[in-house]
Amino acid sequence: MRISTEWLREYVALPSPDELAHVFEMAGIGVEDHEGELFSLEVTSNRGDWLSAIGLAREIGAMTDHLMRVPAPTLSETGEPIQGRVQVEIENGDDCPRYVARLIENVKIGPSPEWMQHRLEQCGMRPINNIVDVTNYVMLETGQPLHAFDADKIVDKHITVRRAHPGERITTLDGVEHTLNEEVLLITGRDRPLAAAGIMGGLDSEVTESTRNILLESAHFDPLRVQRGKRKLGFGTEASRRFERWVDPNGTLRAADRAAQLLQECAGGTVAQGAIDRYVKPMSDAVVNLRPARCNAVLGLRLSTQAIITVLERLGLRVQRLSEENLQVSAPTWRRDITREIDLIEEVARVHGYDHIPTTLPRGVNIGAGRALSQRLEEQARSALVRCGLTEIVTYTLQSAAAVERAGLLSNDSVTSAIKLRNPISEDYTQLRTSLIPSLLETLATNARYRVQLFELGKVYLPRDDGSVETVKEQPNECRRIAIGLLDAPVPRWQKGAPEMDFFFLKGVVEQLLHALGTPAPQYQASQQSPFHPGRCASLSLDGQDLGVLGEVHPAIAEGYGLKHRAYLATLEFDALVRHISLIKAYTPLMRFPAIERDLALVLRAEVPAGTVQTVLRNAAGSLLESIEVFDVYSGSPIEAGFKSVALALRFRATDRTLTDAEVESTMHQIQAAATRELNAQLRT
Amino acid sequence: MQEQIQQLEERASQRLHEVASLADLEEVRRALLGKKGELTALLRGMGGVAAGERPRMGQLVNDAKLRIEAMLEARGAELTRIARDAALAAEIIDVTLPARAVPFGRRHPLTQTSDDIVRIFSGLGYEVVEGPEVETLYYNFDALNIGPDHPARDEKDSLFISDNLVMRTETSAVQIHVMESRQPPVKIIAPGRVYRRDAVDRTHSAIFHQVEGLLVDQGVTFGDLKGTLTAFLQQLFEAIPGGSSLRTRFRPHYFPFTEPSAEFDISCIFCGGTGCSTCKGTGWIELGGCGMVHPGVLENVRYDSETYTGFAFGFGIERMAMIKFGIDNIRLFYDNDIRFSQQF
Ligand SMILES: [Zn+2]
Repeated sequence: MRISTEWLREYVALPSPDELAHVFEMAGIGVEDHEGELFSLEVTSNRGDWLSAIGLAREIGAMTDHLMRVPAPTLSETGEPIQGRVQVEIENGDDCPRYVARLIENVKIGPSPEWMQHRLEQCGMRPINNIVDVTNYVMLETGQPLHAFDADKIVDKHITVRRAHPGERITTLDGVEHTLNEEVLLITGRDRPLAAAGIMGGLDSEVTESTRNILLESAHFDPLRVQRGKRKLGFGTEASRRFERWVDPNGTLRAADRAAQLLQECAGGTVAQGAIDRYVKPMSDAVVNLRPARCNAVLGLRLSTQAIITVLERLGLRVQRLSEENLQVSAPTWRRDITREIDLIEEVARVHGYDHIPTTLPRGVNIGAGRALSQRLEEQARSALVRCGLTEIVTYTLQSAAAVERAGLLSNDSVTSAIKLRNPISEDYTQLRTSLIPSLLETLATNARYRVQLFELGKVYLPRDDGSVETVKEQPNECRRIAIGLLDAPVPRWQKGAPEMDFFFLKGVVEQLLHALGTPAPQYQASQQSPFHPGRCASLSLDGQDLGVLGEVHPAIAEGYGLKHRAYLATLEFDALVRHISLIKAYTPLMRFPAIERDLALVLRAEVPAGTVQTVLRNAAGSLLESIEVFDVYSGSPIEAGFKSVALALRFRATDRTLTDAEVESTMHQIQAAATRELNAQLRT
Repeated sequence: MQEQIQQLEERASQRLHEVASLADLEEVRRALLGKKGELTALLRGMGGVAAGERPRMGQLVNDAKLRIEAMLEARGAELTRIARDAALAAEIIDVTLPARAVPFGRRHPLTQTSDDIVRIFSGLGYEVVEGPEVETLYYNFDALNIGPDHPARDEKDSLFISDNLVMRTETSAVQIHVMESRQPPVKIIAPGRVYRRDAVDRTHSAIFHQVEGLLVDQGVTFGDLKGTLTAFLQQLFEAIPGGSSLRTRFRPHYFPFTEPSAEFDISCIFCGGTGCSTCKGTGWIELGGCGMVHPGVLENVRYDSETYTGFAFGFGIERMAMIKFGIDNIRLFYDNDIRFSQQF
């Protein structure tokens, strides 16, 4: 809503423009900007009455405690009576509670007066001719949208207000033809639709150069009906904006009178005596009770009952004191937003001034304050990864099927059944992500010039049903995951010795993370899956439960992202990890008896994983074995092709005595026997 | 004999002076003191000395030996020092070359800001709760007094999945879940992602993060709402000059789920309130919305709206981070350019 102070000053005394801006803001009317006299205002959807000069003046008067004066229309009805010459029928009083028509005859079409054109332009409206300008001017003045029909283009001057029939057509003033349905309310003549009620008039009954007689409409339409009609037509107007927000049903006649007066003045018309006023669903003031004590309790104020009454009366509400504890307030029909006590409390707060409500703090303690355990674990995980030197990223949770395909994940079932948006805003963001990998690879690509170590802790959205738009009824399973991405890059010669970025560095990061979360050691198993290098990928599990995957990015995929150096990825199921977390940090006594160490080198087939060797030896060793670690793997001469040598360091200890060499020797024999029996391994000497 | 000893000492001194390496020094030591060395030869020559002279001569030879050894020692130390200096000279590096990039992980500015917010509200006694991002229309709209014809439910404003599911447009839905599951007092904040069907520009993103707060108890007032947000904002911006004494402003506004409702501003931290380009000359920066929980919302979750009152507030985490770090483009948060991430 654009308005000049020059216009407002007609009704109420105004402070300086800067002070007025503050008055507007503190009334709840946003000031988008103001240049001197001209204000551009943002009006909330609950206050249709603010979309008019008089409505704004009324609010300024209430806020600044000044009286507002609006002159009554002065009208001389010198024409024939309208009765019997114009008929209005309303099919449904819910859609159109009131319809006022006036007839102005023998008008002379021409430009409107300078002062009117100037005000219209200041409000952002284009002057057209004296008839249209008067209807627009009265709308800006009173908030009541009006429509002027060429009365001679309406058969028998007979109007029916009804819903459109399915498939019915209308060509609106802008020359566009619309096909309608029963959502749209129409003003119709005997032969055809004349206007889309509350939205826009039809081209057929438009006022033109040759128009002589005007049928003026001033009606109250159901806000919801106008909103739905607008949605069907696909556009709104200054008129529909006001009807949607509520127009005072008891102001229609006055607005018609005011417009008739101006038509008389500006177009030389003769106003027919009387008006057609079909008020089929009369509406009266809302009566709401207000308890001053409740008002003070909600706001944190101590206003006297009299002070509260004064504030409400400044707004034009009528207050009756039922008792000291109870007021009965009547809200005029231009304030339909007032329906219950809290609405009146808000009015008291607004007019008294939000600034004048004392600032306090609530009482009470909350033993549940802070983060819950699973939220704290997120912090623990983030912190562990940052300590490993990784930088956190945050990416979009929406992605496109193309992005998923680019990441080589299209064959993955859970990925292809991703939940799709019904009305995506762009083709890049059409579905909910089911993997963190595509956006992580994209982030590596963004930073392809650097050596980077990244992670994200975020959600994926796994469908519970088959994911097609028609059938998604259930909310998806929103799972937390962690993704880690490493990208290598050459280091300058003088910086040699930077930690090598490879699979085992990635595995080290994963293990630090699991350690920080207190998760038991997981099982790693070689795995082949997209988008990973077929020989450098492991799946991670714990007690048979899948925890995730880690590995080197397949060179073909990496190439697709323009990554010139090797990249490594891991994704971990955070929610699954959380289920294995042990928060108990129990103290283990420091060992009092010495350990005995032995090395063992085995020659076995190259494809036997080191992890299997360790498991077999550990199982064979029994309780004296404290630790077992691989310290070398070697293949090549003199080891036969297809075989490798694995060197292990074993440490034995008893908790209650010093071990003897004999005890260790006997255990070593068991271990060697198991290696021969279960791994076909030979002792390397 | 005595003369011979003296000549030997002079020769030794001369030779040690000429020696240039530790290896050469060892040569000299052998030539003087070794089994076939000159001093050893002198001692063997003692046979020719008169018996009465022998003790004295022996003493002289011994003294000479000690002196030669001392000379050898001193020269050895000197040569060691020279050799080490040479080795160090060969190891000179250019200390102005760039450092090795020590991997130093950092938290994303959004999760840092979110943490700050959570920390402050935890201190004020708020519990952190979360909820689903894919919401039912009931929780996202109806339960919050947003009726079927409200514009927010328009296909052009919200991202829908089906007739029943929508990407949540506010984290307010979490409040309803919590209120349905327990009786007052309720004192929670809900941080999380929200979705709007907005075109992306410098200040708007279709996906962003929000924090909503809710307090429902007996005797909660609008004054408490003002006090809580003021205390929070002064703590959040305390690191910024003047941040701990910033002023807040509450302007009336309209939201369907609160009444009285307000938008809240802080005095501009860039100009101190005198007006600059960031605050568009107003001296105030708009941060979010708040209000007293509408009694209708309390009744929707079967709370007694006579006994209990409450307030709710909401704001964007991106917006807070942009103000805190002076970031002027919201897209930077999601581009994840390492040159950006490493600044926080
Ligand atoms: Zn400023």
